Amino acid sequence: MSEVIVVTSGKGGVGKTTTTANIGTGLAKLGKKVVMIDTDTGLRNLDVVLGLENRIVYNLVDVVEGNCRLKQAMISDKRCPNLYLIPTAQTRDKSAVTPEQMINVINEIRDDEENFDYIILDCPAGIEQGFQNAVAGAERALIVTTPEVSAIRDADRIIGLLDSKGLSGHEQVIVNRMRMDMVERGDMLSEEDVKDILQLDIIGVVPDDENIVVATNKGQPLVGDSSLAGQAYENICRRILGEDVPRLDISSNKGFLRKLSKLFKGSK
Amino acid sequence: MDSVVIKSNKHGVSLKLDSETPFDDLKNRVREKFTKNAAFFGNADMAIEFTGKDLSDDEMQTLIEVIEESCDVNIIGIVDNSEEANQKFLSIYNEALAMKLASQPAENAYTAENEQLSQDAYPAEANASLTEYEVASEDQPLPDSNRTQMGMKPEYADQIVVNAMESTDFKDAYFYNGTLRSGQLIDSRSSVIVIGDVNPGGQIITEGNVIVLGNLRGNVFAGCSGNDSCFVAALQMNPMQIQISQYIGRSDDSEQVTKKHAFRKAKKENTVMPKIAYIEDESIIIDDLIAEEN
Repeated sequence: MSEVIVVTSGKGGVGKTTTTANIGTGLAKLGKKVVMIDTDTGLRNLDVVLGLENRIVYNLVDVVEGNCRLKQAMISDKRCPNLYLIPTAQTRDKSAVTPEQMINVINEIRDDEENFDYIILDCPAGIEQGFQNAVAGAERALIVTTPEVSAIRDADRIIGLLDSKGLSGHEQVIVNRMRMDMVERGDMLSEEDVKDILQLDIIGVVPDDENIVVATNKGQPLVGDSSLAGQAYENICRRILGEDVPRLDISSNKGFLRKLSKLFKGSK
Repeated sequence: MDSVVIKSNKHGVSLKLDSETPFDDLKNRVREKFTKNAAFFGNADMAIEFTGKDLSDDEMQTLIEVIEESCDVNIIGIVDNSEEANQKFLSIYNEALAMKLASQPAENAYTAENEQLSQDAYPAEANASLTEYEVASEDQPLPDSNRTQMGMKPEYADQIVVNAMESTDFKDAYFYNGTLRSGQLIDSRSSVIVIGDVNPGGQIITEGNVIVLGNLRGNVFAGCSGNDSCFVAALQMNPMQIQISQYIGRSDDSEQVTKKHAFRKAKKENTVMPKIAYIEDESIIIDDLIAEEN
């Protein structure tokens, strides 16, 4: 039975699409069969981040309008054979799909003989139609936020809306673009501060890493490689599978003095 | 000073008339004011009170006619200034309101879907209290003074609670369990008790009191029908805004510290220090709920 996960945030630009690409790829690398669906009709990006833009023939809107079969719109990833992407239309807007149609598509994937393990939905920013479509069939939500008050405010709002959609208790937070040096200086909200406001389990913290920009531009998700962000995403994937993974030390190579001062702060 | 000042109270509006101005001038001024604000008053039912000048019955009648001509409000009665008459009126009014509300489905149960709805369904009297802002209350920063240090005894907190309980007609409370998040609204006639935090952007509107067993970071409007004796209490008091009756207090701008101190501020927020907000001398006071041990 496939689990349907929506990746959402409320605020734009916090890294939903990057997170979707990395988690989808990461789960596929861990041997799971994964379908990713881009629900950001009109502003699709997931195909670009995955480097699959040139393979799009049919899309989600074609599927719901009956122009093609579901399988025709599923693009196989060039690196992982068990990873698929259903892109959405770039020339339409959010009203081209309804929540009911979204649920039908999800049910069709579920009933497929290939037995997909995960269906990951990339949600657009905002709380309008696109959001409603994306969360319609979801069973679990990953809320991406950054350690900024504006992003956290929006995440808080989104969590309230997810609760009202019956996803209460199936929500987890990913804190993206964390800069430990700034946290240590007191210039950035820490993981604990975020947790204190949102009152939810934090499934992972992804450091601000320039490798992400490089990987995105190349169209190659960096999950699982040697970079800190790559390791952070792999840990998140393992936690999604239910593994108990120790926290990644993202404040690495700061030397003895830093560690000592950290110890000091901790004991205060 | 204006010869006619319109204020709101729990039953409707109060007209403060200048005792020196001749009646005909007052009449014209009243017509002017109500015509100008016709859109604001809408077609609400309200009671009216005249203060500042002794009027004969005929003069009162004339003024009411003038008001009803110049806007769509429906004057349902005149409020006597005496306390006895006031109480009597209040009980009749509340009965009428309770009957009106009883005929509607319960509106105080919170769901995310009815946010808009519950706001619209709010009784007109709550809106009426907005008039007061232009006259009496500028929004002013919440005073950060800790009056326990200035020789005040902590018993005042008990007194505030007792006063509030006596003046609230509905003694039951609405419980909300969990975090009240941004965009969520609790709109209740009875007092509200939140077991959890109220996050920035979350809002509570009630005719009664508010108690937050957690961190209050959002907006609260207690005593929204004009009850000055209502209070707001929280284990951690860091509100954006507190409004009690017609008085508004907002968080101090200097508290919105620069980034440099964001971390220290977070630390400060985390210390549990129960506080209570109430009205004294026409402004909102926040005080420690328990006396500091020393």
